[in-house]
Amino acid sequence: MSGRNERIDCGLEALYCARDERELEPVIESLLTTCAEPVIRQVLRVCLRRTARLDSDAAEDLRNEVMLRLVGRMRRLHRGQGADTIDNFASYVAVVTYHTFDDAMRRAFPIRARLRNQIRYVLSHDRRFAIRTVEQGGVVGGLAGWRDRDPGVLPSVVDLPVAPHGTSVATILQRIFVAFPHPLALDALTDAAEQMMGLRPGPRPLHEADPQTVATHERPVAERLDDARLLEELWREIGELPLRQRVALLLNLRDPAGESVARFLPLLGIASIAEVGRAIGFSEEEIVRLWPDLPLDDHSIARLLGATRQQVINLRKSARARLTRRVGRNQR
Amino acid sequence: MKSKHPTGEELLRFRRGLGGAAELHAVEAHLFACASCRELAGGDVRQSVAAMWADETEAAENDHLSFELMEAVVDGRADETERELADAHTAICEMCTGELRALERVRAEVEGERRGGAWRFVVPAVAAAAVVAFFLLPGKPVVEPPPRVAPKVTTAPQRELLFVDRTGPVYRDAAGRLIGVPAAWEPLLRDGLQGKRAPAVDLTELQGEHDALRGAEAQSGIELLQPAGVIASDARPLFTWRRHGNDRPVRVAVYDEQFRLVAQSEPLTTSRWIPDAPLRRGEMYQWQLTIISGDETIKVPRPPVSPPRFRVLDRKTHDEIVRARAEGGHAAAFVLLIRAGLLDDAKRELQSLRALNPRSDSVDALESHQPAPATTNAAQ
Repeated sequence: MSGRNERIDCGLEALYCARDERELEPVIESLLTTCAEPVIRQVLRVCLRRTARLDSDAAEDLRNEVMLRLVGRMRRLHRGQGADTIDNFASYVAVVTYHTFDDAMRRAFPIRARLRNQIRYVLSHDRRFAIRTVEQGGVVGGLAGWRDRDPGVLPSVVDLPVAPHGTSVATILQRIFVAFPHPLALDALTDAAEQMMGLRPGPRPLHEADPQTVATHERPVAERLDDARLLEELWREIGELPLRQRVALLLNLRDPAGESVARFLPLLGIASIAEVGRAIGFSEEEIVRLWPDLPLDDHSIARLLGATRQQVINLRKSARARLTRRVGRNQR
Repeated sequence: MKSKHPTGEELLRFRRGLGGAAELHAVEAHLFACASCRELAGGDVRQSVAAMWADETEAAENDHLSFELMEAVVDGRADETERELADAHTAICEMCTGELRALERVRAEVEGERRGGAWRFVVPAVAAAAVVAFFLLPGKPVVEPPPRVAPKVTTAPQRELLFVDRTGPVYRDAAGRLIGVPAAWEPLLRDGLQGKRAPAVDLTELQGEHDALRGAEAQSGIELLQPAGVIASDARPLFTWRRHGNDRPVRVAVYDEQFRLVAQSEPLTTSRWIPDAPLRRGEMYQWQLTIISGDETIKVPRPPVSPPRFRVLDRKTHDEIVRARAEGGHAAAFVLLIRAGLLDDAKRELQSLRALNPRSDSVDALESHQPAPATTNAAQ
């Protein structure tokens, strides 16, 4: 391991060891400035080179968004709530940056994102085509017989005829490969297909709030909802979730200081310990036995549910999404 | 336990889940009866919950579906929790919904081409058999040679891209017809794009003196909000009211047109309620709150103010809107919602369409498609 990585991973250890918010703040700040920022800039440079669609202002927006996401994730990691396990912080930051970039592109160019996925699907499912990854994680696609052919580059000015409405993606790809008989990068294929399908709607600004997320039509729920009523509302909606989601969520849910949110329910007179137990299919004796150990980690919940850790993470994500929609709906 | 307050140490132990079953039960019983101890033990908790929920919401909104997960769902390889995750996330994220639908469409194309591909092997086999027959069988050849056909040159028809919907691009051809919209909704959408007024929706039967006398209602300390004077698209509508310093429990009662009780809540200390069972579609309803105060009960609204009325959208229109949303996209759903008088729902569809087409004049034109007279539908 290089000296740099050792330093980074030591920093992560500090994240896990921080006892409270006061200790956590400087650890996060140090991780962001010394370790994360150089990685973010480097990854974004590579990403922005791949597309001519974003300008340099977009890079700054993206950098801020990555930082925000990292702060949120580090806090969740500190609370033991992270879905991810981190061996190498630099790689982790790179992955978060790539994901943030992809999400931003999806938000700014939704039609293109759909088409890109469709092309990727056809390339990997239609036997006439083939897809492979190349250096730096890029993906190229071509005809099935071209496995040994070197990837080509799409000219900057491309003259492709508009395809009639309803032309299949596979047919469009065939026509592109007739005009350019080389494997092409997925993004270049998407550019060409967009042109043939006559799809060129303008982008939405990257910094624009995402209007596609139903829950964000108005101000954040926590602001809209009276603090006193939030847990009450959440409890009511948790009761509507499927049982496994309820278990995955309630047993793990914790506040920023790491305290179990399930234990707040009797504390505020919203639900008794026995009611919490009944909601997750536990007898009173069972829940009382478990009560001091809350919140549980994913491995423990996985054992209780007879599921894998990843399934527990997926169950909790589902529960979160459903609650976001329902609590959001009731407050709009 | 009400008479004897737990010590600070006992409350702290309870908060940490410690102290054993007997102590947990005793402190819990006291907390349920004693507001001051609840405040003492958990007064700081509410803000923590709000912070936790802000984090959770942010996480839910940023956890978009990966291509690999969508691919697994579309191919039928996803396990139950992955399918559930896709369902739950698409319910809050239009971007991923659109991407998943687009993948489903292209999968159907690939499947179609694969099935069609089988004919590519059958046709040459038949042709080969015909050639063999030509040489082996006496007399006239059994198969005529195929006529020579000049290669067909197809030219793209003249058309204008209007916008891209979740179901695909929508064009207008030279004759003004829309391409990419199911035939059932094409004329309605064409009218909408031309900025024509939609037919009026008569809501007068739903509007009483309720709005005018809302101030008087507030004197009881509770003001009824929604649904009032509207058509509700959801058969389990959200009932809301505002409390003006009145924290007493209330019970919601929903009556049909003949004032027969059709749904009733438990006593509620909140300001919202959703009925457990759906109301009958197409029917008109009215609702009332009863404030429970010891042995005394107070009705809101009080006579002579009549209770707020609303109608639940009829089944046929509801189903057509659902089908339009799935098959015709936001634009088709928008015009149907406008015609049904569900203006807020229509506005949301238009917002989604605009998110896909931020600079489309056609979406602007659609926005001016409104019902003829001024009707209101504040909450659905």
